[in-house]
Amino acid sequence: MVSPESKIEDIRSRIAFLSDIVVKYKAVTSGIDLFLRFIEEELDASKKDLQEVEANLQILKTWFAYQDGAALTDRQPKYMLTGILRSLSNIESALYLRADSILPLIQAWLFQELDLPLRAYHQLLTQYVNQLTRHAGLEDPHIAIFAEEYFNQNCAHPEQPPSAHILSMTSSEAKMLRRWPILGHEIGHSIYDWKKDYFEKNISPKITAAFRSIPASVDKKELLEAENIWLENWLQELVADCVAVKTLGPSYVSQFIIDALEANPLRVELPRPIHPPMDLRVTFQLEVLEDLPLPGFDSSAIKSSWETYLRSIVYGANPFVENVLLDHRVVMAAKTHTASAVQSAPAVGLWPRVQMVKAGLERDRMEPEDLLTYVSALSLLPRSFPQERIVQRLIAVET
Amino acid sequence: MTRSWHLMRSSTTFLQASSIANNALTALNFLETSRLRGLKDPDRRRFLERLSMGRTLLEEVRTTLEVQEKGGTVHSESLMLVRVISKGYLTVRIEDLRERTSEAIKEIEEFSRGKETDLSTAKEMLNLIATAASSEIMPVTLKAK
Repeated sequence: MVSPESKIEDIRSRIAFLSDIVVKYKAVTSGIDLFLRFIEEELDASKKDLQEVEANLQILKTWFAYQDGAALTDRQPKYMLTGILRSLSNIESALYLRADSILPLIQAWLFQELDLPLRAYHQLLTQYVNQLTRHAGLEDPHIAIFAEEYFNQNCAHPEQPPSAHILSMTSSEAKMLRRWPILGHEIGHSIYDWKKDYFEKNISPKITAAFRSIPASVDKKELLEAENIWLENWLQELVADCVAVKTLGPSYVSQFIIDALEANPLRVELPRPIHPPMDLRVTFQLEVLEDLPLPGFDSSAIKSSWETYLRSIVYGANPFVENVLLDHRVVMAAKTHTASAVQSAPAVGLWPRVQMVKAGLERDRMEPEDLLTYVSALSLLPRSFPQERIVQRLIAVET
Repeated sequence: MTRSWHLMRSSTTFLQASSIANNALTALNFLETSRLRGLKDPDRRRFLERLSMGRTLLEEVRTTLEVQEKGGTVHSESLMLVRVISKGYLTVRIEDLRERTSEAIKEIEEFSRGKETDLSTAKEMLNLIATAASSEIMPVTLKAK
């Protein structure tokens, strides 16, 4: 039989252990205070929730002479005990989601600050993310680490600004500066969180209207399911893509396509797709890119190689995906209104500097420009371009 | 953002809803037991607060359903909740879900005013949010175990 008291003790000791770690981290560095404060707040909230559960358990004991771990047959106390046990399970989930999953990333940040082989690249990445967030007009604090995969983890609920974000690149990409513009998409998520109400207000009703224009013969359940997928997940992914393109321009798209080539571009992650299929994303990004006034940039080469690649793919059609989820009216509404909702396009101002630095690098000359511009230029040079010397120079200048 | 982190984020939303609904349901059970059996409730005020938070959550669901009916702007977090309720009641008819939600809110309001009332819809809906939201969190948190 489940013993709520021993469960309470387990959780109490977990909270104490996590609090202890936070205190130790705070003593070592002040660079991530905000992130540690968020975790502390979450731990305090879990402590309060635990006290409430204890109080409920005490009432149950007083009213029904309940003994810990004993079976209950009476309906009312049984329901009360169910509520108590579910509360304990929720506290455990909160600890996992808000502390257990974030503390190892903080630990990675601390380690990379001190570890010599990675330290220079970590500082360079930090500098890059600082410049990128400023360039994108974002004020929320971010920290960057080398970790297992790309993500953008929030340390606070988006409804309680400011949010703090953790971004990562894989460790094996530490020295591959040309890959770093891919973080533009994650910055796009931070901007989406920041202006969520604005994006939802300007795009969601248009997507809903497009779904309502689909003929009534389509199954209502499928329609609602598809609409939810768009509004819950795909909308923010398209906004993040659009922000990335308008912030970094061709540098972002050129690196995104490398990722897109590694996956089946027509695949939808059923049953609960988080991302739109790669083909939709690449096509959208190219359309946004073509609309930017970038003198001297020609997207036709990227476009034709993408189309050639698509022709080589064989993928079984799914009627729900083809006819409902990717209905042309819905896709068109989402693309059009996302592109016009993301108004700021700092890529336009960045582009001439990127071209200048790129031309300089091709002639073995380094122009006095910032890291953001250099990384953007490196991402447009052929993979065979020897970048090690440039990277070492950037480390010397920027860190 | 990777799929796993996306799921972590939506789990955080579900967790909040699940906790509010579970606290409200627990409060409802304690308050009802105290009332039916004439037991002295030392935490009556706290339970009433929790119940009121549950009512606010249901009001948010009802507003979302009303906006959805009119084709207006729906917040993605509220939409997640509507999806969970829709799954639980096995219906996608927005007007049905809205009526049930209104009924649940009315039951809570009458109960909070001290009236003797049937609480079945309120309990059913709060239970649905508490359990269905928990099951949405489970796949993510289980990964750690």
